[in-house]
Amino acid sequence: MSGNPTTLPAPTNVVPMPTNWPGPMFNPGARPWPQSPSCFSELAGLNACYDSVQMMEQILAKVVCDLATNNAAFAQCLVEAIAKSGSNVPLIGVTNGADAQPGQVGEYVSFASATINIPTAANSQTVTLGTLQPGDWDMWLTTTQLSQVHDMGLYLASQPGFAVPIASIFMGSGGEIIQLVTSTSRGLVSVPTLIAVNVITNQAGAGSAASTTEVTFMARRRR
Amino acid sequence: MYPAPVSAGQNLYGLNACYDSVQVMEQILSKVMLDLIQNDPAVMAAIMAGIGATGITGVTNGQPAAAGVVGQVIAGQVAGQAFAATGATLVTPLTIPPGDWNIQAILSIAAGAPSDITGAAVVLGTPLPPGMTVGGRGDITVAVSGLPAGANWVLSTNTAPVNCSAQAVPQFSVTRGGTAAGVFSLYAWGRRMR
Repeated sequence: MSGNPTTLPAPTNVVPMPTNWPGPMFNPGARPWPQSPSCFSELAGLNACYDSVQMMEQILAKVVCDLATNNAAFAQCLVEAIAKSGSNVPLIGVTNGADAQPGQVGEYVSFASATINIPTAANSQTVTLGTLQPGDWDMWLTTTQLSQVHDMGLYLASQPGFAVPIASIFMGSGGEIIQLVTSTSRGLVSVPTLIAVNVITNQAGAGSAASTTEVTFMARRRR
Repeated sequence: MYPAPVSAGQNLYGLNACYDSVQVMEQILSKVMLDLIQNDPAVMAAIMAGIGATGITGVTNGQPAAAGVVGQVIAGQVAGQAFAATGATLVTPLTIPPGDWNIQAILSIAAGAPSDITGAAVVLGTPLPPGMTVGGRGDITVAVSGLPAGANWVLSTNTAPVNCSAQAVPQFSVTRGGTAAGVFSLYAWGRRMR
C-alpha cells in the first residue's frame, strides 16, 4: 500500500489535497503533526479582531460625519461619485425657503426691462434684458398688463439651445386688457448670453392709444 | 561610521510593501464604509446633509443631459399640418420615453395661410397611451376663439406633469374655428424631472 492516496481530479471549488501526505501514518520519516491552536485561543483572537473592527467603525463614523458636514471638497466628491454611479438617489428639496446659489440646480434669475413705449401705429423693437450665465435653463417671458394695444407679439430674439420657440402672440381689436405669457423653453448655453426680446405691436390694426409695458425674462436652472 | 546606503532594490521593495498595505487598507475601508452607509443612519444622514449644504451643482458647459438623466429634454413637432376638412385633426408630435416629465405644447398658426381661421383648441387625444398618466388638471390644453381671421398667432398650453411607465406617443387633437382648411404647426417638448 502506498503512502500517498489515489490522486483524483478535484472539483474546481475545492482546495486540492496534498499529494505528498505529511502524516507519520503514511510516511514515518516525516515531521510530526503540528500542534493545533486551542479552540479558546482562536475565539479570543476572533473576538479581539471583531472589537478592533467595531472600534474602527466608530472612529470612521465620526470622521465621515465630520467630513460630510464640514468639508466641502468631501461633500462635492460624494455628489460627483453619486452622479457617476448612476444610482437613483432621491434629491431632497429645501423646506426653508432658501434660494439656490448661483451655479446650483434650482437657481432662479429674472431680468426686467425698463419701461417700453408702445405707439398706436405698427411698431417693432428689440429690448435687451440681461446676460444669462452658462447652464441648462427653463426660460419664459411675460409682460405687464396692457390695455390699449390692438395686437402684440413677444419673441426671444436670441434663441440659445432652444427646444421650442419662446413666443406668444395676441390678436385683439384694440382696447382689450391683456398680459402676454410665453411658452417655456429650454436654454442650453455654454457662454454668457445676452437675452434680447422682440416686442411687436399693432401690426394688424392701430392701438386705441399709446401705452407702455415692461417685459420680464425668467429662468430656472434645471441641471 | 556611515550608515550603509540603501540599495535601489530595497527602496523598491519598501515601496511595493507600502503599496500593498495601502491596497489592503482601501479594501478594509471600503468594506467598513459600505457597512456604515448601509447600516448606520447617522452616517447617511450626515452625508445627505453635507450634500444638501453643498448644493446640486448645475452644468455650465452647454452639454445636454443624457437620456435617462434628470434634465433630459425631448422635443418634436408636426409642421405645416393641414386641418381636417371637418372635425379634429389628430397629430403625434412627441414620443415620450418612460419617466416623470413636464410636458407642454405650442400651437402656431402661420400668417396668411388660412384666410378665416378665428380660433383653435388643442387637447390630448383619448384614450391616453397605455402607462401614461397626466397630473395637474389632467390635460395638456389651450383654446382660443374670436380672433381676427387671417391673423398669425402662437398659443401655449399649460405645462403638465406626465408619468409614463412605458414609451408613449400621445395624440393631440387640434380643432379650428372658421371654415377654411388652413395649416398649423404643433410643437411639443418635455423635461425629465425625475
